Amino acid sequence: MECHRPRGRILMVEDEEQVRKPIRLNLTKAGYEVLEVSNGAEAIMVMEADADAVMIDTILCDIRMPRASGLEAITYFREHYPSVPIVVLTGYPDVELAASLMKQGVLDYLTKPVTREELLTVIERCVDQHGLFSTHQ
Amino acid sequence: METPLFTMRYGIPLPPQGATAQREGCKQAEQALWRAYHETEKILASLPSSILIVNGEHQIIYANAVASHHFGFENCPLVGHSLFEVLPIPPDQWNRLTVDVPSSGSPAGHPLHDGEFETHKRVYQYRLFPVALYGADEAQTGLVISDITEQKQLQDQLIQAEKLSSIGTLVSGMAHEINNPMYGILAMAEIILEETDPEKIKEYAHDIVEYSKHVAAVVRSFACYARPASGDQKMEIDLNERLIEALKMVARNPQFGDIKVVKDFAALPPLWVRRSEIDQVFVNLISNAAQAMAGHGCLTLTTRLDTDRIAASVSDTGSGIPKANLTRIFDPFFTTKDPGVGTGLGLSIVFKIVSKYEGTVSVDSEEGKGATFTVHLPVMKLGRKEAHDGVP
Repeated sequence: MECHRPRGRILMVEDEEQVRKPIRLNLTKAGYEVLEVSNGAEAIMVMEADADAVMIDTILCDIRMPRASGLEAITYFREHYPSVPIVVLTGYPDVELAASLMKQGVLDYLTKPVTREELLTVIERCVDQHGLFSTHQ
Repeated sequence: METPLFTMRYGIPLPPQGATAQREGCKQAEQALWRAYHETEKILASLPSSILIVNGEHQIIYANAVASHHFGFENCPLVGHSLFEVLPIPPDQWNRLTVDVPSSGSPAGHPLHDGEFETHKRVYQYRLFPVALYGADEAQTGLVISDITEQKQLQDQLIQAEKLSSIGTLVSGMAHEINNPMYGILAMAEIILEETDPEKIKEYAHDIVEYSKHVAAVVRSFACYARPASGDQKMEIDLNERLIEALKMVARNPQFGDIKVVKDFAALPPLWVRRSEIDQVFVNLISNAAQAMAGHGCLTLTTRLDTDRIAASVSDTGSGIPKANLTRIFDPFFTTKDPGVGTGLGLSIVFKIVSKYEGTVSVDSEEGKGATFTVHLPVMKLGRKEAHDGVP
């Protein structure tokens, strides 16, 4: 990879290890630190545990999961952490859902299976935007 | 006033008075009897069904013309043959059916006993009725046999059509189940392309193999479910295993949500059935249960063995069924779901399939307190598979 400096922290909310493992490998290799949880309820718990310490740059979130679906988690994140960009990763290409998520402030929408290039481009954009936002604050 | 040659009482000629009149009367009575005999024969021969009467020793004592034609006895009489030589009805099935047929009197008020068999590539349904022939000491049993091949084919088509419509709702579950490992395969392959450590390459390649196996298993289970029932053969199945498979199929759907599943299975003898039909029954019942709970609740799958029958129940803690609907839920096209959600055929197909295997399906529900559907199926007698081959 062209960039080797630590780029930021990503919270990955995804129930399947089959998806988590390659994302973890790709993001780690690209210089990101990855926190992993397997459902929305766990994601909320992680964020609530120590909100200041966590300092997440981007949340990568699946939609359909057992226990507190991605949608519930996204509503929570928007309310409590409005500055943290959210990227949705879903197996269901659904225009209506995508539109309603964008209205809620979700920054990007990826449909599985996604290529590494797409994934890294979107994450990079979100992390950069979060960096800009934080700097302005 | 002219005296009639003979008077009629209840349609039967009474003997006339006087020698000449008597001779004349006998001749006419004889002609009347012949006419009546021929008319009865003609009526019986014109029926679209075969009629057989058998005595206590299972010997055919009467057969109408259609019967001889149906069962390939055009050139030699059916009468005198054993019923079991002519029709592929297993003797134990026959004994089970005839034990309840009243020995005399009209079948009205008694449920007709029926069964099915297949011969010469046609499917026949037979119904039994008691016959008390004049002067016979022992009870006879009558059979009306109808060719239901076309009906069966239509039924198979309907079952298939319903299955295809339910596949629509199962497909989103399949997309989810396939998309994740598909992504894993793609991403791991991309990672391997840039990886130089042979150990890691080996590990990632192993992941790809596992993910591919997962995709193959999902595709196989759906392909197996979607295949027309008429195409697959009957086989020995373990009902507990089929319940787990049906559950997996339904639980893949995202709408299954957080439903808790309780399994309470008893050890069961095998069933001799078409696997895809039994899968269809339980996929239907489990999807209905899941829909009734809208993602939250408890689904209980229970199996029991009651002497010669297997009972399998699917219970939910959902909205329940209003009393007024209980009698209609097995009717074709009856649905309370929104347009596009259900065809209203699911439970009627469950009923059709279960009846086909001489089973029953019942429901116990109270509004607001969930519902329990119980399927009873007769146990296959071990070593007597042929006894069930009558069920097409």
